[in-house]
Amino acid sequence: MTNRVRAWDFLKHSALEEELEQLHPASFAWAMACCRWSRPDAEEVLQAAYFKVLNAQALYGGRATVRTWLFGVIRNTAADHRRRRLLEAVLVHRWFVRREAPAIAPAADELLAREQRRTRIVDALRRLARRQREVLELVFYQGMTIEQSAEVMGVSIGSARVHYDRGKRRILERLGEEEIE
Amino acid sequence: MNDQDQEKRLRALLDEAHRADRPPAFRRTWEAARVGNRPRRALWMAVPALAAVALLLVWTARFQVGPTRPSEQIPSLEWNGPLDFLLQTPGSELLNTVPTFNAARSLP
Repeated sequence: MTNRVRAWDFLKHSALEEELEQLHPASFAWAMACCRWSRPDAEEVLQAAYFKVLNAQALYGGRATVRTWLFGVIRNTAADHRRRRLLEAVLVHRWFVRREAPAIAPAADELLAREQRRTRIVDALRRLARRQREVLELVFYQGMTIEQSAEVMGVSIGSARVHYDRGKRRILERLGEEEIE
Repeated sequence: MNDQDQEKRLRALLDEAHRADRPPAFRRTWEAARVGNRPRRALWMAVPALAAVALLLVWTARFQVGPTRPSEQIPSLEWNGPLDFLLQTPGSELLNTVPTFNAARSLP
């Protein structure tokens, strides 16, 4: 291992844990976007990503920022998770696993309208192609540049730019004018 | 709508989408990862084990299957009435069979 640093070694000598703690809300938001806003999946993916970091399955090369590296780990973990889910569905695993339905708290009209609006936005984002959704999330929510997003997504900058343009156009078309405040 | 307006709007949309995220406590997630408590890991690991057991069962069952019963040993399901013997008259076999001629051209 040349210039690569094992995450655990890095953990001992630096403040990676503190940095991950600071990044935790953003990491969870990113995990939510990678899991199409499924909260149980996002929690599972984030925990599995931390597991990879702790067990040196994910190595920090020191080239990118910790945030870019961690987001890449989360994205790959979400992809593994998605594949596993697909296989589980094929194995009829879902017949045996009951998921708790999210509790719907009674809400006032205003809150309900706001929640419905949020649901429409999330649905429109879910229906985007995965890479389009990812690049929009990274640029407009996480505040990354298209270049940094390309690094997280493991694609070329040109490809990320194409996904960015298409995603932007599609989400605006789908939501129309009604969502403008 | 110009580019700046679009970008402003997209930021607002994504902020709205994440409004109800409420991340779980970092300590809880981190400690669960530290102790290697990967959710549903045991179940996932059980799948290949179950497949192996199923394969073993099929393999052993293959050698335990005995010779197949000849078709003539299968009991007939044809029903015979208890008074059918009354219909059997002397010489009825001549009426129920077709006579054949042998090489000597004589009746059997």
